[in-house]
Parts: sequence; C-alpha cells; structure tokens
Amino acid sequence: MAKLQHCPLDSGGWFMNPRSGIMTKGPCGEMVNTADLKSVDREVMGVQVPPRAPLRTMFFLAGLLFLAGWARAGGAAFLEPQGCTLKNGMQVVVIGNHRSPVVCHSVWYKVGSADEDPSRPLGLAHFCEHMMFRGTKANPGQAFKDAMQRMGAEHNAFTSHDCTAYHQMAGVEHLETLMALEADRMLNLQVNLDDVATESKVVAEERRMRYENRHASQLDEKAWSCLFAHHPYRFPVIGWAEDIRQYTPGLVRMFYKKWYQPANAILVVAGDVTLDQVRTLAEKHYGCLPSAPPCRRKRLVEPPSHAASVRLVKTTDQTRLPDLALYWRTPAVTSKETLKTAAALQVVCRVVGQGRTSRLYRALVEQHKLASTVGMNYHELRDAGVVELSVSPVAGVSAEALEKAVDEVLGDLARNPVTAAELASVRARLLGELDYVRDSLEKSVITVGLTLAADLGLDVLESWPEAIGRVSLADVAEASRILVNRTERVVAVLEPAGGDAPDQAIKSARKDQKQASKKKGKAA
Amino acid sequence: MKALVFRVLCIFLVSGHLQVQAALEVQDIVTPQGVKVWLAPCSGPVVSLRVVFRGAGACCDPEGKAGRACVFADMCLEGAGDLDSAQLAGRLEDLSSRVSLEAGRDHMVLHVLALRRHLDATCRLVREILFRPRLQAASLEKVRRKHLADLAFLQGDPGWMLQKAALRSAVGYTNKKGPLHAYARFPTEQTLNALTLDDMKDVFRFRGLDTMDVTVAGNLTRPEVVRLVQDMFAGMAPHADKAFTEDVALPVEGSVLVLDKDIPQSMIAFFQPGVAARHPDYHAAVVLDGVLGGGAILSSRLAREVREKGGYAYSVGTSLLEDAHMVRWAGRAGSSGETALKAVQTIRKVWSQIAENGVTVQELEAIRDYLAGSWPLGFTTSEDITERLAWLRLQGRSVDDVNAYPAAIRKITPDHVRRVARESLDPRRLCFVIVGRPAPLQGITVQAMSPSVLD
Repeated sequence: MAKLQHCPLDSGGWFMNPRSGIMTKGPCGEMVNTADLKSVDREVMGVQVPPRAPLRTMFFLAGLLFLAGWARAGGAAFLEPQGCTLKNGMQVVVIGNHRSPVVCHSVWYKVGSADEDPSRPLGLAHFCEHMMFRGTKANPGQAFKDAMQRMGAEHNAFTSHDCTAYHQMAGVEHLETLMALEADRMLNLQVNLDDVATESKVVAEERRMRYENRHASQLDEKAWSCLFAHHPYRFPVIGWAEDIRQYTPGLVRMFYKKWYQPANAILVVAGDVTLDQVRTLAEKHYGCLPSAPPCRRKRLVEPPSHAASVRLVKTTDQTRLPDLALYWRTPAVTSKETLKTAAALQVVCRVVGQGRTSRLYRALVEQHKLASTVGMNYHELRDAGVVELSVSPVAGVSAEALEKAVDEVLGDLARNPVTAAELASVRARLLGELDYVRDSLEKSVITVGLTLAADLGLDVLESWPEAIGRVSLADVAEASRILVNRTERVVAVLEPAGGDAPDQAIKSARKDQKQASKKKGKAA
Repeated sequence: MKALVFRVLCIFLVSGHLQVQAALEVQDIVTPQGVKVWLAPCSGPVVSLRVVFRGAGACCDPEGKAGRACVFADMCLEGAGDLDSAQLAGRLEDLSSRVSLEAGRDHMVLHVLALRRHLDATCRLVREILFRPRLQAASLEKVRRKHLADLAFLQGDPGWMLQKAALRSAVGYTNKKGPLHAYARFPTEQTLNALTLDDMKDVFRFRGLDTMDVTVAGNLTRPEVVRLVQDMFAGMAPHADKAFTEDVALPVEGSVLVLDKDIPQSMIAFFQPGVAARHPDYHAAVVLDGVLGGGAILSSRLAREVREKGGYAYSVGTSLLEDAHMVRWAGRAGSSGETALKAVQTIRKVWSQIAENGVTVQELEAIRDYLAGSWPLGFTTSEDITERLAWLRLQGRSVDDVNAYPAAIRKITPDHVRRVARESLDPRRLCFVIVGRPAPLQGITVQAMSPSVLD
C-alpha cells in the first residue's frame, strides 16, 4: 500500500506525530490540532503491521539498513553508543544527544512472536505487551498512565517477531521516574481475569482493524506464512483470531515470568544524558532486581524451499485495480562478517526498486507506463532477512503484465549487473542519510534496540558504515542472485472482483497459446 | 573521587542546559523583499524549511476540475529547469534531501528537508521547482495516470469511503441533496481527465508574498536565512489571487448515518461544531478535548469507557479539527459489527456527562500537566519544529505564543472548562457516520446513506 501513503488525495489514514503540530497529512490535508490529537492509527500498543509491503521498516533492523549511511570522512562511527552490563545481566546502552533537555527511555525484551510456544495460543507476546499497561501492585489500574501524564511524557510500546519494546519520551529530569515505573512492571505485573477478558476484546478489534477489514493485509499475512513455511516468522505477530479468544491469566503469567527478566532485557536511552548518569540510575532501579538466567531462544530452522515458488491470488471488492507484491527470503546477519551480504543487498534494493531513479521505477512507471508506484523494502530479522517489492498498476494493466515486466527488469540484473557508477552513487546516498537517524532520538533508540534484540552486538551496528563503504561489485552481483532467482519467492496478487482489465500481455499470451496448440495438432 | 567530580559536572551541565534551552528561540524576520520568516536556530545536521502557501490548496480547483491542486503539486516534482524527472530525483537523492509539495484542502505546503552541508544546493533546486517546473504534456499524462490509479485503488477502501462520507455529511450533502461545498468535492475520473496544461499554469496566481509563511529550523544564522529566502523567492508575485470559499454550517441535528459495507469492523467517524483557534476559549477547549478523547495515550474518558471498560474498540479518540472554513470537534472509532452501536451509545453518554458536569479536578490537573509538560517534546527535531511552528502561524499566533503555550494551558481552571463544556459540547448535535454493517441497538435510530453519496 505504498499507494495509500503517497496518495495525494490523502486517504483516510491519520499519519500524525502527536507531539508536534499538524500540517496536513490528515485526511485531505486538514489542519489537525495534534497537540491534542492522538492519531487513530498511531495510538498503538502493539503490532505496527502495515496493510502491505513497504512499511514494516520501523520495527526491524531495516531501520538501520534503510537509513544506513556514512558517518564522517574516513570514520566508521554510526551512533557511537556506549554500553555496560548490570550485575544481574541487564544490558544498558546510552546514546548522547544534547540538543534538547529531553530523553528517550526504552526497555527492550528479547522476546517476540517468534519465540512463542506454538502449542499454545499465538500472539501472547503482543497480548502480554497490552497487559503491561493494566497495572502492578504498586501502580494499579491507571497509575502508570497517570504518572506519564503528570510528567508530560509520551509513551507507547510495540511487539515484533523478535522483540517487545516499551518506550517513553520526556524531559530529562524525569528519567529516574521512568526507570522506576518500568522496573516496577518488569517483575510485578498483576494479571486478573477481568482485565484479560476485556483486553482480549480490544486486541480482537485491533486484529479486525489491521487484518479482517483489509483484504490486502490478509494477503500479506498469507504471503508471510508461505515465505516461512516452518520458521515461526510465519505466524502473525498479533496471532490468529481464534488464538485471541483463548487467552487466560495463567497463560499470560507463564509467558511473563519466563521472558520478562532483567537478564533478558536491554535498556536503551538516548538524549541529554551520559553513560555515567544512566548507569547510576539504572543500577539503583534495575540493577537491584533479581533475575533468572537469560532465556534461550529455540526456533525451528527454515529448511530450503526446494526451489518451489508460491503464487497467491486474492479477490477483493476493496479495490478496482489489481496489486502485485513479491517476497524473498535472504540470509540472516549474525556477525560483522555477514553484514557484508546485508550491505550488498541494501545496495541492490536501492538500485533496483527504491526511489524514482531505480531500475524498476524507470522501466515500469516511466518507460512502459505500466505502473503508478513501485516500492521496495529490505529488512533483517534475527533469523532471516526479507525483501518485499510492491507494484501498483495504472488502469488497464493486469497483474500478469506487471509481473512479466518486473521479471524482465530483475532478469536483466544477471546480464547487466549493478555498475560501478550505480554502486558509487547509491553508496554515497546511503551514507549521507545516516545523519537523519542520528538527529532523531527515537530513530537512534530503535536502531540500537532492534540490533541488540536480534542478539547482535553494538560492534555490528557500528560497523555498518564501514560495511557499506566496502561493498564491492562482486558482493553486489552475488547479492543480486537472490532477486534474479524466480523459483524461490512468493508472489501475491490482489485481484479486483468482477472483470479483468483488457491487457496486451494476456492477449498476446493467448495468441501464443493458440499458435502452440496449432503446431501440436499438426505434429500429431 | 574523579567519578564524583565528573558526575557533579554532568549534573551541572545538564541543569545549565535546561535553563538555557527550556524555551525555543524563534526569530520573527521580514526580508527586504517582504517574505515573512520564522527562524528557530538549533544545532544538529538537519534543516527543515516549510513554506505554506495559504489559500492555494484544493479549494482553488475550478468547478469540474477537482484534483487540480494535487496534480499540480505532483507535476512540480516531475522535472524543473534543465532537469527532467529522473535527473531532478537523482540530484535530490545525491544531496540526501527530501522535497515534497502537497496540496491540502485549504493550503499548499512545500517541505524541504536537507542536511546543512547540502542546503544551498538543495535550495537552488527548490527554486527551480517553484518557478520553473517543467509542466509538460508527458508529465501531466504521467501524473494523471497515477491519480486515476490511486482513485481506482481506493474506490472500495472502507477508510476512504468513511472519509468521503463524513465530509459530505458535514457539509450537508447526504443522499445527494443540497449544494456541494468545495470541501466535499473529490477528484473523479471525469475531473482528472478534464485537466489541461493551461489549468496547471493557472495555479501560479494563487501564490504570492502576501499569503506565504516560511518557517525554518536548523543550524543557520539570521543573515544566512535572509539570503537563502531572498534567493529562493526572488521575483515572487507580491499578491496572490484568492478563491472564495463559503464557511461550512455543520448540521444542526445529530444523526447516525450508515453506509453499508460488509466488513467485520465498522469504522465510525463523529463530529459536531468545534472551537476555533482564535476563540478566547480555545485553550480551555484543548484541555477539555484532552480529557474527552484526546490528550495522553489511553488516558481520556472515551479511551477508558469505550476501550478499557467496554472493550468495544482498539482505537477511539477525538480532536479539534480546524480548516479555514470549518471547525469541528471530531473523533474516530472502530468497533466490530456487533458492538459498533454500543460504542456509539457510550460515546454519546460520555459526551453528555461531560457537557453537563465538566471534568474532575484530578482529570484536569493531569491533562494540564500532560499538555504543558509534553509541549517541549515537539521541538526535538528540525522537522517537528517547523511542523508545529507552521501550525501555530496558521492559527494566527505570534512568536511569543510559541513558548507561552504551557502557561496558557496551566491557567485553565475547572470552572472555565465546565463553562466551555456546557456551551460547546452538544450531544444532540453529534453526527455519526459509519461504514460497515452495525447490528441494530435499541434506542439508536439509524439512517441508511445511499452509496451514490460517494460519486
């Protein structure tokens, strides 16, 4: 749904930063008082799952890869985080940014939907995240939220496949209180039957909003379950509708006790602070908490797909034009050394499908006039990477025609690989964009949090600019093979109900078929 | 010992920082040419520059040509000066800059996001985009294709349907009766196909120095900004033409209108007349809205009643929505078919309770703390800063108001809020528009909306 985001008509989504003032991006550019408004879509506690491909970025290492870039001339620094570990095993990372007297405080638990026990109802990680706002003994009911209000703090949380994160933004003078509150609910959550019953209904509504109401999202959900046939990434983070009906306090407590431990948690703080300040406060509030040893994450390994591609088609009355998406699995980043592949893949994606100068855009939108938008997204999860390509046609063009055109461009990569000029240009762009990440407290925190929650070290994060700087043409050619390979991918087509669009490709395909069968007839 | 000294020093530095930086410095500048600029000098590598062309939005679209402003805005990025579309895009990417031009209902907004070191080069490109966009037949066709595709894509989208239906209901155009206000005109296949290059050239006259606001945040000095703005807008017409738009009179009676669609969760929009930014009770209304359905996450009355207690919705909220000719107190909610009308009933109940009794002292103090305390959080990035400052300027504020907001909020008393609630919140005027298939509920009368209202 790259389309919905870029629609100049400003469709019904509310994309708003609740802290700043407005400015358009409300439906049809209305002036929105966002000092008061909570965007309906942003008022999220939980899964940030977009309706279609390219938006998953924020909550994956993609945050890192997408915006990755260079730091300074010759330097290899990215965010320059400083870290330490508390006595009980809790990791602490600090990113200094002294521009405003503000701090972004976050706690990341190394548990996501992919760590759930598949013999139990799914979506527990996400549900547990919801329950974390329902109160503890010391801060029952609304106390946590009231405290946030009193401090003038913004706060939220999200769950992903590999992690669950709780984050706040407030004046730096409130850092200690934020820690105290977060430390309290790390071990002292109260889970009662009434709250579970009501919150289950809330999560059911969330699922309806994100999936059951949106056919495109359902197709995306299905595509992921095909891309990962065995690995738990195949499960939706929010769980299936049937699962959401089966939550009990016992299930939540069991999950919570197992995974919510200091040794399984990472504190990431960015803002007008130093490591010493944060460490002192962290030792006082988090360091004293008892901890079980960190949990071991055991997940099924995804076997090779045996060169079988999958094509999904979903018919819908929610659109009058078809939509096409392609998905690929890529190797995981597990160390500094394997970062090279990710860097090369990031370059390939930029050249092939991101932005108006990309090969797919130029061919499909400009040259052949088949598509209105092209979006490509690459992000790394803990155990694999995923590349998603989304293409929306102009009127009168079928999904088949789009697919054929996409295959031509991707196939061309083998004959005409990424050139030295393309590599140099994309490298410079990726590196130049890094300043945007460093400028934002939230982006810095998310980038660090996602990296560590994926069990990678800060050294891997910091070597990203160097990895980009070192990508060679050979690396890129190697990475391109993933996209050129047509036998190991998922193709997902959204078809409008009632009538196919007249289209040249289909006509000529039928013509070819007729000729072929005529020849057969003759031979027989 | 050393560690202690370091810590003390750090604390001192932080406090000192707090005293200096608690207020955002904003300079009010008028360039020799007459461009009105607000500059918020700040550290950091990112510069945000926002230009609001007031009154140059979709309201300027001529009859039968709805969509012109949006198409024009997109065309401006399809090549400018000596650069074609790909070259312009490539140049901007090389500079790590992002330039966007968007037409809203009332205004057209240019946003430039650039790294300080690439600012000058970026601004030269922006000047070309503003004054010499390549408005050619090929790019008109390309942009038209895209908009037609977007339209076709959205036709069956329930969110899009809701937005359209709610706006049309707000301006009194339900079941195709009544005049069609500019705000309720949406692009159609017909209007998009009717657009010509001459139509595009006609848009320039709605831009002028007298209706422009420029807001800049970044590591720049006053002389640098003046020079930059002078260079960017040299030759800009002194006066902009204005399109006349009527004020909207919102419906006098509340209602619950349903546009049938077979989706599991009904999408609900609701509104009544709002309180305008220039109204003396505005800040009290902001505080009131914070308690009602806005404010801090999951802390409003509606969030508590509809979501936390009822479990009827995942998302529910309100805000004051102000356009140049329409001020609404508006909200949204999403609830499954079985519970949608229960959600409506609860919203009405909360609305009535607060209209009659105001809010509790505890609620008031909490929301005051939140609104006042979180205000500085909107000033942590250049982009956020210009977004908010541009918004304040549209409200008619001065630079002094930028930092006076928290104090204005903290002054609001329970009595003031109670009076504003009594005078402004009117549950009988609350209009609900629902896209979905809500199950009937005793006590709630529902009217069907004809699907042709979306045509």
